Amino acid sequence: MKRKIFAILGYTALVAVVLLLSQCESGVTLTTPKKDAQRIITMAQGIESEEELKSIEKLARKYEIAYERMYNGAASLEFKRLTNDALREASQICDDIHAKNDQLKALQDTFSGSLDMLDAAWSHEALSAEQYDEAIKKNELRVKKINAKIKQAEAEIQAYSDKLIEAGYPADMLEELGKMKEEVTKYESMIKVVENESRVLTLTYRLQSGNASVESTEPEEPVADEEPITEEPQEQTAE
Amino acid sequence: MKRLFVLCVVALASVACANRGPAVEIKPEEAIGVAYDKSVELATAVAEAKSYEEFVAARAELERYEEAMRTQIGGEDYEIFLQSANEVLSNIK
Repeated sequence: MKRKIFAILGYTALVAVVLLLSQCESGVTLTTPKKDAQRIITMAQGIESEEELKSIEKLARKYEIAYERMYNGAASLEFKRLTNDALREASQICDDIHAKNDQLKALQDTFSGSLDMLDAAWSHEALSAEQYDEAIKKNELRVKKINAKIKQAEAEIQAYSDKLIEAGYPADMLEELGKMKEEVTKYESMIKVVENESRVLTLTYRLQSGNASVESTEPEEPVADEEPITEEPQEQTAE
Repeated sequence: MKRLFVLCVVALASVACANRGPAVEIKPEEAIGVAYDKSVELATAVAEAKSYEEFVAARAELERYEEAMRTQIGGEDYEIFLQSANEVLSNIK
């Protein structure tokens, strides 16, 4: 009898140790799937960055694994079911934050870019009207030439694409097509550089000759069709 | 050696402060006004500068406000500040 009791006690202790060890291994303390899921949901609702999302997802995964090891697949699935929507929403919020940050970055880049361009225009040596016209014409010609190269490259790409289809998309031809497309991108960025140069020249000429002005972007206020206000004759009361 | 180092730091700090001017402080209730009107006013000053010196001073002032809006206000008001300034700066004809 005594031996049996010891055996049962020993077995219980062993199970407790195994359970404790598995909790320590997963690094999370389990309560119930509902309570733990609620904890994850609350954390997911207050998400503010991609790093936070990643750490919450990692924690949720730890819970899932711990539930699977400690109890059974059903508890783990229950936990997953309860947290799924909140994590998906958090991921969406994260995407929105990402998009907003990109938009802000673009605004900041435009801001500093415009100021740098103005600085370049002021730092540029002054241009006479003739010099300015000549430089602009030169740049227009450069753009025309690059555009012609782009057209030619695009025609070559089209012809090569047809050959590629006929050949059944071999890797070497795909690589070659990639190179051809890169060439077009290079030409396009060259155009941007020249256009930027022209913009600096225009600003240089206008700013340094004192002809620059800021064009109003505000829409003109519509003039309301008001009827002329006519004063009503005051009644004079004869005393 | 130590004294020389302290002296250098003080000199550098004073040069930095002299170039940048005092820090701008924007109260939350002023943020909308700065975002819409002040940004246009400052950007217009940059665009309409008549000399390089005027441009540098106007640019520094605009950047001081941009920094203040970014660090003290942020969010939508800061975005509006940038949008308004960008609109003026891109419309120099």
